[in-house]
Amino acid sequence: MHVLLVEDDDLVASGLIAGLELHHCVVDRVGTARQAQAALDQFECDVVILDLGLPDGNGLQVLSHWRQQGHDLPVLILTARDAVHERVTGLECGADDYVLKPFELDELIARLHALVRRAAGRSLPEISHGALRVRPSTGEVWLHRNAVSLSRREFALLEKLLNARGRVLTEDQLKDSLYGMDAGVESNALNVHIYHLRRKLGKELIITERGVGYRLGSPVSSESPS
Amino acid sequence: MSLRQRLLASLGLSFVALWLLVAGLMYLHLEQQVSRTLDQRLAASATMVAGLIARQPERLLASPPSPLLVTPQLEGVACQIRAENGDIILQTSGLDSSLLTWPELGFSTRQVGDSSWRLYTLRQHNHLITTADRMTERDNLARSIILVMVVPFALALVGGLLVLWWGIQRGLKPLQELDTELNRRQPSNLEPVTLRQPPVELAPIIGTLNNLFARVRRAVAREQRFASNAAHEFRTPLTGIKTHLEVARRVTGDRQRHALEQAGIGVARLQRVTDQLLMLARLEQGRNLEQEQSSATTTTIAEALEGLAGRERVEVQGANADCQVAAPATLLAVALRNLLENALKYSEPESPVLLSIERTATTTPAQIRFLVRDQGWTTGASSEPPSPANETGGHGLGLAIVETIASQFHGTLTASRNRWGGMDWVLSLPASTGG
Repeated sequence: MHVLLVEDDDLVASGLIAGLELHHCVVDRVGTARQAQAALDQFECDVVILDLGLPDGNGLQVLSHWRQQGHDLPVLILTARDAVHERVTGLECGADDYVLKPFELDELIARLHALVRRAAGRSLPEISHGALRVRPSTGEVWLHRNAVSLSRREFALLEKLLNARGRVLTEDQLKDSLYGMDAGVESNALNVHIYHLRRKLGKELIITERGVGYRLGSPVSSESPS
Repeated sequence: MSLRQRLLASLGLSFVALWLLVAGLMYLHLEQQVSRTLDQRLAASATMVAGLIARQPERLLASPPSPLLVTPQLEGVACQIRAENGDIILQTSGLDSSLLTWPELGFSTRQVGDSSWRLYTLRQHNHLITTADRMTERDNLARSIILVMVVPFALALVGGLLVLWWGIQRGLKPLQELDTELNRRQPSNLEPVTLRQPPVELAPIIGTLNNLFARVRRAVAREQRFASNAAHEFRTPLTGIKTHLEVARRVTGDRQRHALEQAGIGVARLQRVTDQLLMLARLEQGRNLEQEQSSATTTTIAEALEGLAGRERVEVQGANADCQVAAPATLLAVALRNLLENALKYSEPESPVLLSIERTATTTPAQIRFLVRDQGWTTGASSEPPSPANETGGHGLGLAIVETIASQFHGTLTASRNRWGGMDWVLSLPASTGG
């Protein structure tokens, strides 16, 4: 899961990044409304954590602007302001969830996964693709009921492809989900992760659409390989 | 007792007492007047009879030895004419002859049997002419006349009381409306009171009430805003501490150490917020920590800048060792530091923040003016900057402290947007008289 964290407070942001990365999330953090707008124009993410009190603007105005632009990605407001009218205003401005500081890290991450799951049209916490089962909230992967160990980026790539449900994703979209704003990524880094995923989960899992990008292959046969 | 009851009781009782007094006086006066009128009637009757005798005395002298009886049509004035030797010459019928025996000249009252008579006797040549009234008839007549007076009088009294009640009801209606309006209100309702066509006398009360409501509304809003800001400033470091501790529990080695260090930073921030809140509470109670009431700007500015994150962005102008401010150095340093932190946070990360100090001698006492100027955000930030009246940022607590320090030491704090799109914060405090 690729998370855009819009939080001006360094202490809170660093704690959140560390906690989210522990849960196999790829996190990009910005500290101002202007940077948040630029980040969303620059790359795709799965979910946004939005603080309301930004030094150069109000998070609600940023959110309203995004919704007016047609961005429909899930947004979770994270704020220390607990007045009912502020919560109502936040939800009416287009937020999908509202969490108060301080929060339980596990609960926050569960809410983020629920938002992403609903946005992808799924109702179950597990994603099944034939013999492949993935639980995004814990980062666990099973193939033919055998646990498979994936790196954080491999897991993010797999989750992105599974949520796309066979739709072709361009290289840029996939890189965004892995690296976000990290500009210093080697050109073949994506290929390396795809190679490792195919090696661990089967060559047919990821189909290359030449000149376009990649998509999820047919469901992995539920019969155990001999 | 309600105002209406009090008015009704006092005005009603006064009204009734006044009318009863008037009625009593009128009764006495009327009784005397009726009695006098009846006496005049007696005298007039006697005079009339004397006139008749004087015109035809021969007819009276030709009367038989037995008294001539004249029967009047109605009960009324009795009359008797006597000769000087006591013989009755003429009298009305039914009159007891002993009644009028040797009457006194002029008016007199005589009791005969169980009835009382009023007499008037007139001497005419050799005759005594006496006219008489029964007192019971006189009393009946007087009562009839008084009764005729009492009925309209009583009606006027009752009518007057009703008009009084109606007038008080109508006059107090705006007060009743105000009472109903206030009773109907929820305690949280601080909207202005509105009455349809309030009387002029109530306008100052309603005006004062509405001003009070407005002040309470502003105070409640300010308290809520302050509580919200204080909660924000507590919760933010608390969130950092909690998150880092959760991470520290799940990792090891350097990552754990780093998470714990971050949690420690959060604790320090939390401590500072707590200290600021306590300082604000003490300031609002008027308890100053400092005995010294004067500070030099140079040392105060140095104290404010010490350890300030973003210190390199602050440009100081006009610091003068001769400037003495009539406020404790520690509190002034806190105020300046809070303003600088606010400016550093709400402006571009690389932009300078100006702190300038000047002494203005145009006022008495002279003022030391601290200007903190930031350049805001180059993109034209959409949010309003925090201000004492409208704190939207996370530094509401800090600005509240600056405001309180300013008011405690007879100074002012003002904010205005500058031409760079940032804010100019001006803290003015009186110069120390010794400086």
